[in-house]
Amino acid sequence: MSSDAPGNSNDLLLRAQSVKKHFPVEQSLIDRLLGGESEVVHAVDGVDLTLREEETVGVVGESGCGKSTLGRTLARLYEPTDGVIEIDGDDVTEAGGNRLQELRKDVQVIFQDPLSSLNPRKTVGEIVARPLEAHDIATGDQKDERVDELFREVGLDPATRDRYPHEFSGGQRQRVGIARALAVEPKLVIADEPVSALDVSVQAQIINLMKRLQQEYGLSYVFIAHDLSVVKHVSDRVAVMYLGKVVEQGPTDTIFRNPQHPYTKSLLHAIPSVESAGGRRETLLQGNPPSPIDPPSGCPFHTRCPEYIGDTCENEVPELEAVGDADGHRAACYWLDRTTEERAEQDPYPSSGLVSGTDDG
Amino acid sequence: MSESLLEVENLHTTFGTERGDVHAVDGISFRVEEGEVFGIVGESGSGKSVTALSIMGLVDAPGRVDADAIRYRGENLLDASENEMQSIRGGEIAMIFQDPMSSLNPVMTVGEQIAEVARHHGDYGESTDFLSEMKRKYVTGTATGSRSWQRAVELLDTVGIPDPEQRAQEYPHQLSGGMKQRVMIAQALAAEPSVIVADEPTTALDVTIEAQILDELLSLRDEFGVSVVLITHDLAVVRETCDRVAVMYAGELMETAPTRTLFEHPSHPYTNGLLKSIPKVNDDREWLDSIEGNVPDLIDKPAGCPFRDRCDSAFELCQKPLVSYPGEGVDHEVRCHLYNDAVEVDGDEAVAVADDATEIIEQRSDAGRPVGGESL
Repeated sequence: MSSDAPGNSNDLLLRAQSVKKHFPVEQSLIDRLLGGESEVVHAVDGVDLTLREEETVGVVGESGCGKSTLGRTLARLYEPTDGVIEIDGDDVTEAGGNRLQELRKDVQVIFQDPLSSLNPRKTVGEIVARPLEAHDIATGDQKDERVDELFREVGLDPATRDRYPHEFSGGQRQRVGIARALAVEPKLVIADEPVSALDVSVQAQIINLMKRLQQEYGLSYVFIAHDLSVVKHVSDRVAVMYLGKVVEQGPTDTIFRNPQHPYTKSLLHAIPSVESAGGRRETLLQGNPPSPIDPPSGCPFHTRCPEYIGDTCENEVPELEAVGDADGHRAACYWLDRTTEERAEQDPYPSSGLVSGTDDG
Repeated sequence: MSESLLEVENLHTTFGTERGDVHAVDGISFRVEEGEVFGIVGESGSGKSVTALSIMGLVDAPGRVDADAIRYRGENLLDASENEMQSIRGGEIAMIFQDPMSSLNPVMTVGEQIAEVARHHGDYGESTDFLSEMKRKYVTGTATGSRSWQRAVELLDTVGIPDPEQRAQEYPHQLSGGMKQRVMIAQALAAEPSVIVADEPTTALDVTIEAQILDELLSLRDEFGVSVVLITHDLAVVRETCDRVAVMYAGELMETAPTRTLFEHPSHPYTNGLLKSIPKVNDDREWLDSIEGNVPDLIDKPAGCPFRDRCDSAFELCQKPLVSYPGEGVDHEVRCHLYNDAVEVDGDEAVAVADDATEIIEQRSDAGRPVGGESL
């Protein structure tokens, strides 16, 4: 599906094709003896994703939709069940040994909870120096200098390098996590909810820092978050996930101005805003996402869809199809084929929604 | 002057540590009216949860609660005996905690947990002595025909849990996060309280589920007329649910106002900074305006405005203890010396301070009236 890759494929950094990650569900001995069918959690169920150099793609969705699993699979922290992951045009799906070691240098991860992802028994200086040692990048004085430089780069005082993670505030710890990721000069950084554990005032600091580093180092980000306003702010393109599948993707502005998939629309309506006139949000989405162990047949979203149109939704799995005029805007929904009149009849979205211009895009 | 449902006057909660006293809550005053949703918003460590625990009388040693008064329907809770507190806690003022998984008992069915609260606070003609409770807990369980169980099922239905008879017999781990939070709300409602203190009730939830839960809280307010004290770090949640709001920073209130006023005329530099640092769906800013620096150390906190080290408008008066100044419109109070009449302000900077500034500060602090009091 190379034709879907936006722009020149030469500067394509990451390409994932129908990546799947299934986790087996543990069975009790009795179930196994009785020959019960083994079940799997369909955490990531066929995701295509591309990322160009110096680009940020945001991955959004409710908890349990598989966005973190996708991030970890792309970083090869999980072995993909199926699919192909290419980095710089090089298939790394099954890379091992030296190739994997090299991949670990190119792809770094920033985790959500900086406290549990930093070793509590090592000083932050040691934590940031560790990748330099592991990849033989620097030793001795050179290493110390590099660590000091990284500290300054992320806005930490190098004099604090002998302290332990617990002595820092949440925002500072996340800075340590960023310095560690930056140490090996990666090409791709997978940021898994990097700011959701932080306070708003600190969140803004970290977002600004990540954007500055992107410009300075030419980084590419896969930015995983549940907060749509944050994703809107940092991403060039957005992929919306539901139950292990991407249901809509495209340029950020297009997704927010002219969303096509009913799930994206419902999500956008649920964004709380400090700019709204006050009053309650429309709660278009009722209930919870279904279990990824036994996902619904057909369109995974049909059980909660406010626009649910009929048997097709229940029986056939919609594919991502190009929609609208914007480059790379694709959505997976049967509803999109309907005529404008039919849409108007079924349109459950109040026009006074939070996202202006939903219908005139 | 009508009496407020809940009034907190000059609350101080301090925790003694080896390094010194931590002033988690440092002299705050507010009131909550009947049927009102009052928001307390602040960053982590600002003392908002400790405020809630102090009101509930749940602060343990080494914590100390000092206040001029915490009045509920005119009665000072600080003078209440432990027995009286027990019937007020849950019965009159109920609390919903942030993390439902760790606040629900994992080895009791949710129906059991709600029925227990209902039994203890209401008159259901069922024995609540130690032996019968132990028997229910470890042997028989609450009889599904009993009135307290029926009440539990009814409450689960009220908070929008489908198939409540079945769900009442399930354990917390069998329910999703949003469902557990609904159970917490049902439990809080079980004793028909007049005030619900909700400490970050939706923080652990997705936006879509958050919208459902907040909606539920508001409908309960409309239906039963309970007041809600909503503690949150999320200004957007405040905007859509609260009637009035207090902004808290480092244990002190910075600004108290009706919600609309706060968002349309944010007056305190901290409130302004917070609002600017939030990414919005409709903005095209390349860089967010962040508040530089970190929250100050609350151990042996120096006098004066706790925000002054991070504030762009800081000037010499900021060393003085904070007092309230009237803001824009009714019921709006700002605790920032920029609003002192003796200070001449250009933009958001103080350009001149007249001689009587200190005098005005002293007068206002001598007045000793509660923040948000009705005399403006």
